[in-house]
Amino acid sequence: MRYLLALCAVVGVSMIVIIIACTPRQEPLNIAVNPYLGFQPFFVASTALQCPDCPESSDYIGGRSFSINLVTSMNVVNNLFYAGELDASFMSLEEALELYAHTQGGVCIAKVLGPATGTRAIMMRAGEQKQPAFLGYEQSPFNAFLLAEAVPALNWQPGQTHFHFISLTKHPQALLSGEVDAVLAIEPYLSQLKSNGAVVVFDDKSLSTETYDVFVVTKSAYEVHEELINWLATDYWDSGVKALNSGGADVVKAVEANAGVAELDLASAVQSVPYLTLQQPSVPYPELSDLIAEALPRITQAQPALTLGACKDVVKR
Amino acid sequence: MQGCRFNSKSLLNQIVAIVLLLGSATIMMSALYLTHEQVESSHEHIKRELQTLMGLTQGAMNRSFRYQKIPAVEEIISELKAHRRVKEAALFTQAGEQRVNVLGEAQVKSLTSMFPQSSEEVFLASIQQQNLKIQHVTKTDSYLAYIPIKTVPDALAEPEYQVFVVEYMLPITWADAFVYKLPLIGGWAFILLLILTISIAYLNHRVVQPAQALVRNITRAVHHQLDQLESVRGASELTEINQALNSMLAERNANEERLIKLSTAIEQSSEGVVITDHQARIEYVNQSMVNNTGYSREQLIGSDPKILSSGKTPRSTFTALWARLNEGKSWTGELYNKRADGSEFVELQTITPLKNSAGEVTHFVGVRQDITEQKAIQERLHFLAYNDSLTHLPNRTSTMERLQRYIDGAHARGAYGAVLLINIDRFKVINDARGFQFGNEVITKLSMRLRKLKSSGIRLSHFGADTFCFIMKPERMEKQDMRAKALVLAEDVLNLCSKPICIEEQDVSITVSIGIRLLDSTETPEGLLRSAETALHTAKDLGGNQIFNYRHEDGRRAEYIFLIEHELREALREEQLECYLQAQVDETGALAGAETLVRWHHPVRGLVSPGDFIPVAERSDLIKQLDMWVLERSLEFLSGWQQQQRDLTIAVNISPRTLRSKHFVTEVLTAIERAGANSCGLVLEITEGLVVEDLSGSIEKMKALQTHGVQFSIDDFGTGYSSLTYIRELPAQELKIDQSFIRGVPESKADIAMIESILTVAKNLRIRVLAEGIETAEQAEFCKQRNMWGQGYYYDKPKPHADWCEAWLSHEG
Repeated sequence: MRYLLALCAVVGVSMIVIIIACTPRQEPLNIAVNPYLGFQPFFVASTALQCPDCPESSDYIGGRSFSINLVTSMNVVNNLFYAGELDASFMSLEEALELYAHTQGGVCIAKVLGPATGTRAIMMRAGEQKQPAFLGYEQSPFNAFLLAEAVPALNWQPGQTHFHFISLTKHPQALLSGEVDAVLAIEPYLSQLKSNGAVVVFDDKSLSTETYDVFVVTKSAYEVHEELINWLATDYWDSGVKALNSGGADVVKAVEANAGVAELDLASAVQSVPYLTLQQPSVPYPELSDLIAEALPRITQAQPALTLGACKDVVKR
Repeated sequence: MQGCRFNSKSLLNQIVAIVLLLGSATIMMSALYLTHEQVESSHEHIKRELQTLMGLTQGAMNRSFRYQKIPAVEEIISELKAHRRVKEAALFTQAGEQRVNVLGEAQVKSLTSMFPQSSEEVFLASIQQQNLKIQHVTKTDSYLAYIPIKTVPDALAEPEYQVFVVEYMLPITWADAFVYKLPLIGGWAFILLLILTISIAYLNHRVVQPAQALVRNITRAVHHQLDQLESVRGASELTEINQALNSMLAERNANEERLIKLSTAIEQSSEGVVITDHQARIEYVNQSMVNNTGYSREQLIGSDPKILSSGKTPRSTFTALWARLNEGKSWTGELYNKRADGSEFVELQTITPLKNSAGEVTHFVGVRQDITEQKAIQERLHFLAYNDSLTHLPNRTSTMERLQRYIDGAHARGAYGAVLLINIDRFKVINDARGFQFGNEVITKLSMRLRKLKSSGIRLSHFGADTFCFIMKPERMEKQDMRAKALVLAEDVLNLCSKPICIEEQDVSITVSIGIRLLDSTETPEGLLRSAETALHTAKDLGGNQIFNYRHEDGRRAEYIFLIEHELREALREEQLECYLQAQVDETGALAGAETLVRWHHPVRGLVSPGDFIPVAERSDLIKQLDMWVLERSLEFLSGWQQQQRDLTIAVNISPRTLRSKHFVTEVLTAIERAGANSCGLVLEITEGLVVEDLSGSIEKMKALQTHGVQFSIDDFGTGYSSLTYIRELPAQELKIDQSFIRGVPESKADIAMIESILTVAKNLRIRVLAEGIETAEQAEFCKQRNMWGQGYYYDKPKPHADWCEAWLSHEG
């Protein structure tokens, strides 16, 4: 009988060892952001700086614990989120609320980046003061909010301006080439247009309220990658910010490549994104609910029943 | 600690190890198979997913190019690149150069730089065939999808084909697949483990435990602990092995017992047993061998059996011995050996070669028996068988063999010899008078005397009792010459025997009778001796102290007597005998009675004379039967007469042998009673010679019967030992004068004087006198004048009973 017990023990232990040793590889945290300068620290940290501190592990598919993808627009980000292909992204709070609504509350906010002032603006070619007939923009909740406040503020007549969807990277070319009369551009394209003589006719500083950018992750990803996400939102992010602030040639080159622009005045552009400085304190989390309450009216598909929250609060472990 | 020691050769351990190995191998193979299936399934799934994804991408990009929406292409590419599984994506011209530079790419790249594992062949094939191609890159464990994209630069230009290449990572590895299937594998492993556990438990119960019990049984059997054997229950083969073991042990036990018995029997056998190897070196001797030879076991073991040889065994014995042994057969013979102390002995030894399974002789077994005493006894027995114990002369058996040899020799050479049979006359008298010891002394002395006549051609034998025999070796000579030579020898014997023999300082005179029979080749030894005995008897009959040559007629006579005796017995049984009556008349000539005379109506020979068969009957007890038969018939006649109120007597002859019978009186009285006759009419005739031989006994019996009224008549009175003395003693009522005296009457004065004398004695003793053989009237008248009864042909011839009654009684009546 002792042989049977020994046999059972050997097989049992073997099974336990195998089960413990053979944990499945995890999906890497898949992150996608658009080329907005306020989100560039992630790229600078990962691609331009080769991400020396990025953890590598064979426990993840592809060998990396996360991957950061650059996409041309928020539409792409939303599509990827909807398809379940994306775990995290940077976006405005308004966009986060809309994503939250479309994913049935599947996302949460891992980090609030603070108000951006002067990084999104309607620009027109120099010397042209009349209401533009064509305005290029990228469709997003925040842009819709900004246009909704800009039109009356600029005394534009409703219906006299046609809004054209133009990819972010094409905004400078579309305005400068006369394809459109005005564009709703963001940094670093904003700085490029400025350097090419375009002027700001309305920017986010003129809005009735401050707008914030947030780092949004899916709840399922946060459950699995909480530590990684926290690291990305803090140390990793800070390293990217530090790199941007340093303004090195490689950083500039990387930012130019990511944004598809040339001869970017990175230092000037960075100044318009105040939260990119390390000294900028984060918005206290208790205020997030207030921010969301203020932002909710600004989105067209607002669903009051749904409440977006901080991941650490809403994700149950 | 010993019990905890792992024994790799243990059946249980081996079964567990094998089952573990098989189980592990099964689990591993199952895991491998399931994992493989999972990986393959994932590959198929990814291929389908990739084809679907790339198909949609192809359509989207084709439309973007068709509507000149290059930003849309960039967006599609960037979106695709952000896909979890997409590692890289780029659009290439047919020349393999990057067509669209998306965000984050500082410069355009070539196909090979972006996709080092890409295949140019597949790349071109996708363009030429306008088909989506998928390439599996094992090195990077990914798929490369080649998607042909149709672009239209402008309305007048020919459409161009470009290829959108996507590297799609394989989301699953073998480890992932294994982990994915782990619950199934674990479940299967658990079931298998359960099966293995049950299997091991079953094998342990059915095979291992029975096998261990079997091993314990074998161990106990080795230590002879047969009473502690345990039963084995399990697989039938093992139980059968255990049964076979038990049977084998029982058989072994029985064999051991038999072997011990056999060994003990051999060791304790009174016969010596010696076992040698094939080179005749002693390997084993039993105790009897040691005791018998006087050598110790140590001295004998390893020695050559020649150590026992006395050197007196004939060489031919050894030659025969080895001849038999070399043939692989047993030899039995006598060996003359000597003991350790030098004393010699004879032993009967049987040597048997022992063969192995190949038929080769490996050992010899000798069983030896000391037959020294037996040999002596044999020789003594042989001596006694062929010699007389008293005289140490060859006996009858030896003589018979000798005669056979002589007869054979005579036949070959045409020679003659002779047999002389010698018997001491009236030796019984010597024995009766002096006793057997004295008689033996006489025989011994006589034998010593007769030995003097032995020579090279004359052998002396002693047939026992008082009979000796000389055999004269056959010689080539005439028959009469040999007879004469035999007569000379017989005369010499007579002369030697005529001299007195001194025994116990007393001279004893003896005479001998000699019968001679010439030896020729026509006779058997038995026939020769029988003939010689016949001649001897003849010599005896002639009075003894005589020599008689055998004649063939003597032989025939003897044969006739033998035949008559045999036939007479049959005659008694088959009523061939008949009683005749001859009348007896008184002194007045009136009928007084009759004498019964027996007649034999032989179915072949006819009427046989009483003179022929009565003497033969008297030679044996046959006469007693004959006498009693005649007596019973006579009493029946007498009874009949008495019933007819006839006062007649009937005379019956009684032989000496019958009278000597101790039951004679009883038998006579019984016969009288049975016949219902009055014994007063019965007259028993006895010869005087008979009475003389046993006077007192005869008188006693006669008196006994006389008291019952039986009368006695002295038959043939005057011819024998007629003595006035015994006549006076005898209780006889009648004297029967022999017819030889009557025959001379009335002429012979001597006969008349003799008769007158008898009559005077009889008158004085008041005894009746009957004359027999009266044939003439003168003789009858002579008898009447002297008051004698008469009997003879003058009065009556013997007749059968009926005829006699008719002649005498009817006439009288």
